[in-house]
Amino acid sequence: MATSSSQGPEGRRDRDALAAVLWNYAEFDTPEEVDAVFRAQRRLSVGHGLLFFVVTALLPVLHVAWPAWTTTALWGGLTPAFVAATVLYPLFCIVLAASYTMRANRLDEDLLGRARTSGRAWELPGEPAPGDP
Amino acid sequence: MQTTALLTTLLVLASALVVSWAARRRASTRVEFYLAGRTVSAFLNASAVCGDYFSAASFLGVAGAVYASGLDGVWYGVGFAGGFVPLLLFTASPLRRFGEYTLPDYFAARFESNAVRLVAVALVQVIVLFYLAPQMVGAGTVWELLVGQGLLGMSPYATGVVVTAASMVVFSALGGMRGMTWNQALQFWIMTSAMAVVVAFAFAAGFSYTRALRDLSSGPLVNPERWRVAELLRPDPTGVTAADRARAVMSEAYWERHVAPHLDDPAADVVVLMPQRSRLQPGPAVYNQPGHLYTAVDHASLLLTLVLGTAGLPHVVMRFYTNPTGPLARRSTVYVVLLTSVFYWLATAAGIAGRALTPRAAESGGVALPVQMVEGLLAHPDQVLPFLAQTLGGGLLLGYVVAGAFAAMFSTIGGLLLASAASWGHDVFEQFLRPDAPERLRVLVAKLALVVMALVAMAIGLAFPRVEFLRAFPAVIALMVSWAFAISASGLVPALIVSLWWRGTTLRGALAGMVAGGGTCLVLLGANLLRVVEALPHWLAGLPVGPALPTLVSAPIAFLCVFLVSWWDRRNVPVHVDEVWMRLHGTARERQERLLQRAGVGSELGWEPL
Repeated sequence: MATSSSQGPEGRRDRDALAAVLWNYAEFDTPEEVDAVFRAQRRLSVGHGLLFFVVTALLPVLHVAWPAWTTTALWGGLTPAFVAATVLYPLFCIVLAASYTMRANRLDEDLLGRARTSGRAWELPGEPAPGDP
Repeated sequence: MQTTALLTTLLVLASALVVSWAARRRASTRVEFYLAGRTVSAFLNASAVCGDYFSAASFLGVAGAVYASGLDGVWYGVGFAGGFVPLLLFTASPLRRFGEYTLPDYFAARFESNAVRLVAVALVQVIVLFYLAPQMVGAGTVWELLVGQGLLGMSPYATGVVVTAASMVVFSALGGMRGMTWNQALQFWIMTSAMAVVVAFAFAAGFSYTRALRDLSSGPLVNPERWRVAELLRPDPTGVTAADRARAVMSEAYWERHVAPHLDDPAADVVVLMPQRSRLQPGPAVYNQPGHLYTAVDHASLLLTLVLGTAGLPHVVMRFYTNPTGPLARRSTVYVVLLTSVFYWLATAAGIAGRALTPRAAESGGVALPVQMVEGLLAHPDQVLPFLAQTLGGGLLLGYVVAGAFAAMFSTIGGLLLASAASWGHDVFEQFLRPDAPERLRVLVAKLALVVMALVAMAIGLAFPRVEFLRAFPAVIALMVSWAFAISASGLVPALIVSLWWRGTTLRGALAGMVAGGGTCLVLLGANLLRVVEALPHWLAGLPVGPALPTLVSAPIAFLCVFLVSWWDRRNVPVHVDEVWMRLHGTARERQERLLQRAGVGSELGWEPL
């Protein structure tokens, strides 16, 4: 569908036609839609952020509040504090980041995505018009 | 001279040159030069972000910190990795959607004010300088240690500084952000694979992670320390001297041979083993337990500094502008969290392996590097990775690690220079001096700014050995990267996060947060500096100027100022805030961009990425 490979007068005509279609086409969001998605995203970010900061703050607290956390040998010289720092906390960050990304991207797709076409039929090869049934 | 080290360094330089040359034709417009046309794929960008982020401090320093401090050393790496989570949650996607070039650009457009742009430029430049200075000093030191040969009559240290600065000018100016992206991604994989190979060699040599941890933690933690003889022999109130404590953990033979001959000269320096005290509880520090470096407050402040500060580092933020869309910016951050976690796990394993294997390697001889050892322990923990590579894999593996160290420095310095050049070229020249300048002149000024910043960096690096103050207190240089994070976490990030997610943020609120947060942080860092050089007045002893950072105080002050001043100034919410909100949180513009890109007709329609 990319027109850059089209050569000759016919290819140029196709490209011009496609350009004209796209020129009359405009993706748009309404302020109400953006406000809704912003509020949903803020809830999601703040929720994940609170969880992240609570878990991060918990680590130094555990070091002083629970002696067994730093002294109990789990396997060889591995203590719960060492396992938390080297394995559990990084894993927590990865899972939190992946979970947030999936949910945030889905929110964007679900709440936004309409197009205005200046009254022309939407046709881009292989691409249904957003909002079409 | 380490011939393999020199050869592998030249190989890294040559590969970077080839990459920059290949990208040179695509650096002719500003959006290409600064942001690689905003078309960098998520994984490539994640690799480049990691290359940008991991300096020599990460490559050599984290393994060194784990080597010297055990669990407390791990937290640096963990904080570096965790720092990308707040960036993902609060800034990556809206900043990319807003579609400017730099952080000052965002603030200026958000509040329609050049005052806030200038404050942001000042903070960005301070952060870049604090980040850049240790990189340049590191370049000289690494060249001195690992290559050991000067060029054109210069000392090895000066050669390292000059070669690094000159190379970065050529690579960055030639390839712009496109070349920089490819280089940083390549360099990230060079350093990660080097770290992985060293760890693999350690396991092959019989290293067991859990057994080593158990053995290293079976007694008090003991580390080499440099002492002035007069201090070493001064008794404390109980009549015990530091020399007594050192002799209790050192062999008589080593003491008699290396320390005793210097004890007649009070001004002489000696390196002795010293039992380490825990800062968390009375008694000695233990390798697999916290307390060697941090109190609970220091620990919390360090974590807050690293996890908040990452979101405001100019060279990292700029990389997020190169993503094609907001969702891809998010996905690229997930890859970054994954890659940084793997990298720091490897660095931790390398540090523990180094601690476990160096005494054996020292006993067996064959140490070709000019490192100082005290009873089987390295006097400079940062040398653990090259030492391990050389003793386990010989010259070839050492060469690989040298390549990794230079890759780490090149990728970070390049990113910093580009971020600084963008700030001068785009935020100062284009906005204040010549707003009507043609595109070609703007790109030329960006390249000139890059050259000037590289010269400044080179001057800092070359000045370091001549400044008596810095020679006497090398810890100041080591602390500077953390200072950059602290200023970012206090000066830029609070105003950035609040203004991205609260419509009611006003210009005065943002300015108050930036000035109060950044200012408090700088004052406390100044006090911290006085503490390091042992010149802190007694009446300042109550200030939070511990070995960690002041972020625990300055970041909350900044957040509070943004909220309170904005609330007080609530009648002056920017009138165009709805329009800003559509850009920050709407997706129409990026959907349109994606569509035009898919159709391959963007440029024919005169369209340029945001």
